[in-house]
Amino acid sequence: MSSRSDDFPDLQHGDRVLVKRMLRGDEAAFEEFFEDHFPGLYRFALARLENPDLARDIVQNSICKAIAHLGTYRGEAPLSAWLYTICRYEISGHYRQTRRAPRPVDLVEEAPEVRSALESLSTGLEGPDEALRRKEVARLVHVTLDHLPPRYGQALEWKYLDGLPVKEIASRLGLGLKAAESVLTRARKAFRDGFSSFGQGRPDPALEGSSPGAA
Amino acid sequence: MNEQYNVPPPTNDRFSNGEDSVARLLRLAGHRPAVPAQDAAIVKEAARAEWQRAVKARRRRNLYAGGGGLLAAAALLLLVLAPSFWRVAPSPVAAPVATLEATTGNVVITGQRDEMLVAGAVIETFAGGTVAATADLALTDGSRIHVGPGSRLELVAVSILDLERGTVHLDSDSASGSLEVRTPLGVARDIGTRFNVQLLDDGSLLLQVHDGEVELTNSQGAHRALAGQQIKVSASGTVTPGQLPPDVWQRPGRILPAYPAGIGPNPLPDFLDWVGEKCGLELEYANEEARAAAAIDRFGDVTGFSLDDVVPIALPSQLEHDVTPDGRLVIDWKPGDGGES
Repeated sequence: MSSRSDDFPDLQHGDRVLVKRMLRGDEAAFEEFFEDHFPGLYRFALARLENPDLARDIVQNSICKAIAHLGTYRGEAPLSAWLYTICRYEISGHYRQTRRAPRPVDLVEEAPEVRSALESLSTGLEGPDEALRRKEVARLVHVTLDHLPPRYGQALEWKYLDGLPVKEIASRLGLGLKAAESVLTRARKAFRDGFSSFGQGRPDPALEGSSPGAA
Repeated sequence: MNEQYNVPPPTNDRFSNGEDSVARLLRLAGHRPAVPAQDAAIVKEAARAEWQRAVKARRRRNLYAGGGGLLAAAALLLLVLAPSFWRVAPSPVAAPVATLEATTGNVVITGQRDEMLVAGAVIETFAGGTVAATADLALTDGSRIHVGPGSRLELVAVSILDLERGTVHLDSDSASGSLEVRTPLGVARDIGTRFNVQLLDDGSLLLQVHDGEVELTNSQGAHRALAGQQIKVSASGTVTPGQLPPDVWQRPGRILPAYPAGIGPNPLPDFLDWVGEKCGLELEYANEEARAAAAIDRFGDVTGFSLDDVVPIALPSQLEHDVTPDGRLVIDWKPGDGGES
């Protein structure tokens, strides 16, 4: 996913526009911001904290901090990467305060089990580990989707899980047919890149590289 | 073998057949798990309040930067010098979360629409002054809140309060679900109860539970306190549980708002009834002589004082009061006073 921002420079432009609209007090922009980013952040925190109430509080703090510093977002990284970085810092802060070691995030980005699960996909998943492996791969797919720009993840789910025609996807995205096809193409590429980097244990810059001030 | 697992191997050419692999992986995984709607609503409300604050702050800054500095400075000066009760119009999009019932002394409230306070509203009661600054609120879920002097409280949502400093006393409605008070030193969640949350001058947090049960969560974990217990959290986060001092427990010490009938003269029995109601106590006279002795008029302002401050002053010298553990405010003769009036 390291090349994501280079591949899709329009995303940062869209993020910058969204942030500007929010700073102007545009209610629709706030709705878009929240609906696009909250679910992924919640699942991200829940995977690391295992406590729904705590995950909710951590995400709330993260979003509120991000909003309080929206004026500092310069659009040099995707907004989602900025938010995940803040959330990751909040989670680290929680573990520092409680003096506990962070819970290893099993079977998500870096775990060898994920790679093993992926390797098993081509050879068949029979035997006692089948359900576990299936769950591992599902989680990796979900994490990848959560780290894509929100409309990419939505578009992929609409097409492949809900079976919607491109025309309907275009309508939901507020785009023309050609533009929706383009979004789907880029979404597939982004998914492939993200899934490959997760599966091969390459860290996601959104999670590892930047700091809250880096945007 | 399930056909869904026929995905190319995890090599660099894993996606050589492109869309099919993506489609198969997505179908294998299914939809992402949904986020609990209640959690989403809670976070959204808090995020919205923060966003509205950020937008307002930015507008204020722009006002200064855009040549409106003089006007804004004048507005600020007006705010400082204004009468003690100042209300700022709320954003039209925030949801009402509480009704303002009464205030005393120097109170500043932002986020008020008529008598309703909306999500993100801030109540600031100032310390000092001749009359203690307090505010009484009724949350839309039925819970009641008393904000003590020298406090700053934000109504993040109907069930979430953010106490930056000072004291809040809460009478929660057990049927309405958990009420949460967030402080810099921990989060107190009630389980249908009456409790005080106080940020002390030494930087510590004191939680006192009068009824029910409260859970305090901080960096050390979750700690529960039952009625009659208290939890103190030092500025460094050390948690010290203990018993509530008996006099505090039996006499909740709730600070009274303004008496609706004014400073009087007013019938003392009516006043005692009102005190009992405000403190969740049932008024009772030990005997008919005590009732007769209390049948006088009294004059004065009780706002900002506690039950234990006010009742002894209001009662004739031959009477005294007691608060029983089962919630009665009993008026009786003082020992040795035979019933002279």
